[in-house]
Amino acid sequence: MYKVDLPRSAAGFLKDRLDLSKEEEEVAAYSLEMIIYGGAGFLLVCVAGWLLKCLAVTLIVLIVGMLLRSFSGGAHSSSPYICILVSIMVVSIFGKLAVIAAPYFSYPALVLVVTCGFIVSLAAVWRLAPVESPKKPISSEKHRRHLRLLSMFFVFLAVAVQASLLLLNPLTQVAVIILAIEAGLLWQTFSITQAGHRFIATVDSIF
Amino acid sequence: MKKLSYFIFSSLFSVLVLLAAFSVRPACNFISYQPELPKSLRK
Repeated sequence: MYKVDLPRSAAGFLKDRLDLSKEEEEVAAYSLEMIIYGGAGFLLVCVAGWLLKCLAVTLIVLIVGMLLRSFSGGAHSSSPYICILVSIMVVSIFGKLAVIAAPYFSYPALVLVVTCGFIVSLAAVWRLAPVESPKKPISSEKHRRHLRLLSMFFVFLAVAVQASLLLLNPLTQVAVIILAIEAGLLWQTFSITQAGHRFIATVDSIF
Repeated sequence: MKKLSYFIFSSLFSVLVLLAAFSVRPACNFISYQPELPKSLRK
């Protein structure tokens, strides 16, 4: 695959202009990678959601997944381009599926989905989180414990939001939001499992 | 003009350092991609 390393080039430009050290250049490149690839990914997911006429729902899936991921970690693509591609496909498809499926869900069916999702997510997060990236090792056991607790707290929080929506609003208005939160939660839960790692590795090997 | 460009680029670099410092604690910053954390930011 053809690669353009824009963050490294921009960091090199800053190094020349400001006479930075090698370490400072690396820090600038790291931040620029986060801004450029993260921003591009976010923008393209929004475009995909807009094209599929489910932008708000797609954003809910994306934000729930991103927030849980910041605590739990997860499987990693080897390239930012593959990352963006997987994100666009998975998040927008889940957003569209939530919109299509929502009218067919009754109240008991939604309660069942939320309960099963809660059990699966909490068990996976309790057992597996945080999943460490080789590129960003977790510095201490204390930090690891914090991340696990925050992951579990986030799962509780997401389910509390879903339960409040179920109890306080008419079903027709909230089913799609509840399904979108569930999709974000379960996608991220999947990405911390062995199956999730195999999925990302398979996608990596295709490109 | 040279002073202004130096001010702009040094401000930009300060923002990048701040962002890098904030990104150290979370397990992952991205949806699916994690850039290599610089050695100077590892404890």
